[in-house]
Amino acid sequence: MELMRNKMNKIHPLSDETWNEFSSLLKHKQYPSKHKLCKLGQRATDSYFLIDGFIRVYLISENGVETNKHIYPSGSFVASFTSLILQNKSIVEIECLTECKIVEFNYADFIKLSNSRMDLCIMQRKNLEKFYVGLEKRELESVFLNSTERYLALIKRIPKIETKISQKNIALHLGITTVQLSRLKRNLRT
Amino acid sequence: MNLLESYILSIHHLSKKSLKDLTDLFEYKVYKSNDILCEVDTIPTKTFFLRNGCVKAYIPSSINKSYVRRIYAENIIFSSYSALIKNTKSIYNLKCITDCEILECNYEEFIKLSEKNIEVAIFIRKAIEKLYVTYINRNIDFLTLDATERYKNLVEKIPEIESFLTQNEIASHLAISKMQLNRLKKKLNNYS
Repeated sequence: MELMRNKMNKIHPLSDETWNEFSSLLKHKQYPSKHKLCKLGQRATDSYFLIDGFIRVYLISENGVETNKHIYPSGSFVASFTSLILQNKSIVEIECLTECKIVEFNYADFIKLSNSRMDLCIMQRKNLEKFYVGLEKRELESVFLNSTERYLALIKRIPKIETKISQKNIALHLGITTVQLSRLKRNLRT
Repeated sequence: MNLLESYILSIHHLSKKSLKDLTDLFEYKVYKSNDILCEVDTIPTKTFFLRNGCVKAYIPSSINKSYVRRIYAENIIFSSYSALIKNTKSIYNLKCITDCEILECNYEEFIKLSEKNIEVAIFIRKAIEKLYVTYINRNIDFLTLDATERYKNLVEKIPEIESFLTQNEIASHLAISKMQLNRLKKKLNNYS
């Protein structure tokens, strides 16, 4: 809980009163590796804070091809955000890549609370801003950086990622094959 | 009711007073084609409502091949957003590609108002959510629609796009080569 409160306070300080009301919405959960927090086509209702572990968010095309959109380490907020906002079917899947300790909360209840609490509303705005900036950064990386540069950016962002998740998932995230990833790493070592 | 008011109310219902306090922050300005609203490498301070006209957001490149990231048609709020909220240098140029009628507002004042007025705070939150959804949908289109469909969507959104942007700019916006763009257009003409 400390991790979550600290993270939120860093974004924008919350009063004790606000935190207490918000805490009453939280559910602590533990999930095994490969557990899906959100399936394709499901109407998302919850938002998540990852206390420990790794989570991936990915798209599945009609012919079953997966595209990793993002990999989240501990201390991240994760959600099928478009589905939460528009209250429609999720276009992404959210899966635990490792065993995960998660705090869940109902997004509609959270919004209702933030609509009456200025500090929470400001925190959510700033959180969304961070989210958006991260998205844009990744879009520009995918346009302007080659796969080696994107690999280096990934391990800079999450240094221990190779010990925690499979090469297959890292390759998927970079939009390359595992063979290409091996070659890329071999080239970096020489 | 004017365009800006309708746009704001379509996102969140504000009381009369809150709506007035917010719209009072916006100043009406007319710009000419090729005028720059936000210069690359400067720190942006404003957010804009496009009442009339067309604007492009692009990353200028020394190789004469700029990357046109966004094209804005009327009835939208836009800015060099990441730089604006982080208070860093803009990587984009925001340039009018037609004469434009714009309502502009100092972003810091906008935020100051939102931190005193919860209706405005909710409005901003919903506006960012909308921005996020538009963004994601655009990315999804990129992953799921082929270049022809994306070209058709672009022309549907801005029918005169061919007169506003060069072939290089249109191609880079669709993330294809100029040759692919030519081929695609030839095919479309053959079927029409």
